[in-house]
Amino acid sequence: MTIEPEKTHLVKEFSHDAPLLACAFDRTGQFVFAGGRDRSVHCWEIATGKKTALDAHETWVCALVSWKDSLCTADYSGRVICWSLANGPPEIKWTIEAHQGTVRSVAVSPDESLVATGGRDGKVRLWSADSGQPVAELSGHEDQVYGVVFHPDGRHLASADRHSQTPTVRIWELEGQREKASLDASDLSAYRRGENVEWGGVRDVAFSPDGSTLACCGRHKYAGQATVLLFDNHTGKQTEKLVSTFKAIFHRVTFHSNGFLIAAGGDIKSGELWFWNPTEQKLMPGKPVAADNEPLAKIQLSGPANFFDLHPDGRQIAVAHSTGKSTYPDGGAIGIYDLSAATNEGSTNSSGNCSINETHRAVAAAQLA
Amino acid sequence: MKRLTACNQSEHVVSRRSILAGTIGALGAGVLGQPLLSEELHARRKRLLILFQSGGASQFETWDPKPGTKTGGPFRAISTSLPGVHIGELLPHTAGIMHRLAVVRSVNTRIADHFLGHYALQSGRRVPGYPVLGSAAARLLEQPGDVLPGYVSLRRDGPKAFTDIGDAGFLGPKYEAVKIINGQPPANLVRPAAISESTESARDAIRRRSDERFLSGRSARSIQAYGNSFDQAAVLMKRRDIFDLNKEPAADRERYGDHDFGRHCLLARRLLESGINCVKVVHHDWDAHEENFHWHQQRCSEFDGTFATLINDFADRGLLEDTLIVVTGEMGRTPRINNRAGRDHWGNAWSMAMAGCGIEQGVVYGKTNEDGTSVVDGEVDLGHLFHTWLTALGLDPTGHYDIGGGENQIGTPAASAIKELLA
Repeated sequence: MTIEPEKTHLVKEFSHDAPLLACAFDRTGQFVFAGGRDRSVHCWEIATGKKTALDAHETWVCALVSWKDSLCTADYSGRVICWSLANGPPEIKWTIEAHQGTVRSVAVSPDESLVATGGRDGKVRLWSADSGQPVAELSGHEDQVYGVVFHPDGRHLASADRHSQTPTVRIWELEGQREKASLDASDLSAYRRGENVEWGGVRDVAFSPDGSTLACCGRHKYAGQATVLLFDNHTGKQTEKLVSTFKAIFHRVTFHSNGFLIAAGGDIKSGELWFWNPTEQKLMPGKPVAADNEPLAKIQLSGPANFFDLHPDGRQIAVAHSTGKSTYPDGGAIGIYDLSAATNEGSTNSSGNCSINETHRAVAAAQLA
Repeated sequence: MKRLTACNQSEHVVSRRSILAGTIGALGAGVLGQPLLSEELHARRKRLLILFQSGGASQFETWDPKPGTKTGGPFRAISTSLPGVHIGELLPHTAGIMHRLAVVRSVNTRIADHFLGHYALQSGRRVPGYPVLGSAAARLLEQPGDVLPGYVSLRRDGPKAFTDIGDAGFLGPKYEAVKIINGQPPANLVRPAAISESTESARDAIRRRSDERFLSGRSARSIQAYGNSFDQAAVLMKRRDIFDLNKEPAADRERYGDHDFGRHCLLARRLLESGINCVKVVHHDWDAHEENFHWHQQRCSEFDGTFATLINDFADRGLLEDTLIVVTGEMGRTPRINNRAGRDHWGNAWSMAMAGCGIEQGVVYGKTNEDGTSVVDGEVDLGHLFHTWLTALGLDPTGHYDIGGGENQIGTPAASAIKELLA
């Protein structure tokens, strides 16, 4: 099936009674997990909408990542819980107090051996994905680390901070645990001394599939538009500033395996998804590149978006957002969006208990193939 | 129990006479030449320190946490040095000094506006024109012979306009706050090199004679305030060292914190020890309409360490007993959390704290309901707080200002002090 961002449309929406802050598909794509303004991790079986809750956190769950048969969930207190999805209902594999204060981001390495976390304390920490044992600590950021992502080569990691005046992306060499480069993301600064309004900083960071381009997102200037910056990963130079027309913050950015860029964010009442074809990528022949900030598409969402995750087959995205017409949300939802004209509501051969069985694995393998 | 005040002691009367007998120049050579007045005269005086959380701190993230509720936000409650009492986890150092504090969790001012809130919270009234707490206390704590300004306000540059709302009102310019921006002393405290000391004295003498001639047969108030500002300026020129934080030990600068609030709190200590009666330190930017929780992590982190250090330091130096410390903003923040993860303006059920002179230690007064949307016990309004603060300072809020032949009650007649908060 052809991926056509401009035809992106909502196919399902799972409601919750609190705004949702983060989400992740499981590896098979049968389930979507979410955390939000309550203490549970919520799991929806996409085919049936059946909802279950995983209870172990003591505060809001604000970052998730899944791999193989595991799920990591992170919260505002600094705690990270790794859940096994292998057998029956999810079980806790390990729990760590990862940071002093909120864990803002969590990522898993391409070989699925390491989990990286970034937190309020300005640290990036690496953990064994199997055991949760600490592996390394990367220091250098001068503000909260809102984004971590592994390079596709598995040997490097990027982290991004929310410093309002001089937001910075740092590239780390994992072997030797040293900083390789520091990228100036000050086009995402949004600091007003008069009011000390600190709305700037990087909110998320991503690598292109070939690793040559790094994207980071946030807001362009005080009360400005949601924006993505692109950097050449080899030179460290900024190559593009993709300024949307959406006066909001992009909280999440990632590359699709086809090479285009997806960013999502929210304002006080609305949310939008933006798609760009970055100039450097040129992976979508026939599609316009991002010159003059022209997007491939932009999609209105049901509410302000806080996060999204790409389905393992690349055909859908799940968006975590809040709902309601007021500036104060009534609740939240996970919106499942198809990135094409055709509707794909997913397989229905699921047990509905949030665990991944061999059938799921086979389905996922077939889809990925 | 009758409280001792230094002004009743004979040795201080003598000292005061010597001050009154001299000129400003003589003061500069005598008392004013001392780096800090730490002798008993000032050690026994009552002082006021206001730590003003401008913009309005969230009661949920500070004094009145509601973890696990729809309104409570993501942060947990932590136990404190006061058994059974919990506060927000963003204030771990403050939790260790709760036994020294009195916290009010039941403030209902019904004011959700910065400008009105700044004035009303500090003046104890909604009607404009009354002096704010710092100005009132500067006037009421003033003793004969006082030469330094009675009220100094410390803030960084570029705050919102509402920060400086409200000051001396009908008390006049003498009791307006001297504003210190970014820790810098008032401008022009150094006499220009081209003007000799004798020229300056001669010029000042001419001004004084002109003032005296002009005063005959006229209302004295405005011209006296004008003259007073010259006197204060002269004193500050001699005592500009009181604004010099470099004269404080490096260890103190470090423990108070390397940020505006920390520096200003240490400067406040220096000013109070130097003989300034009232100091307000403005801690800016609590107005977290967006990303309230990120914002409060930042702000509380600054506030918490510095505040706990200050309270313990004042206690260790013997200052706490005679210094009333008030921690408040102009309002609280909404129980509901908006789509930007912000909390908006809220005046109906919020919290503040106080400590030191005249205040009962280890008190939590008032209560809000389960989700913090309303006060259910011990509702407190502006006037109650103002009466309580003045009473704690040994002043009578039911007394009157006699201004231009008219009388104005110091505290609003509609309120009274909260006895449970008073030592």
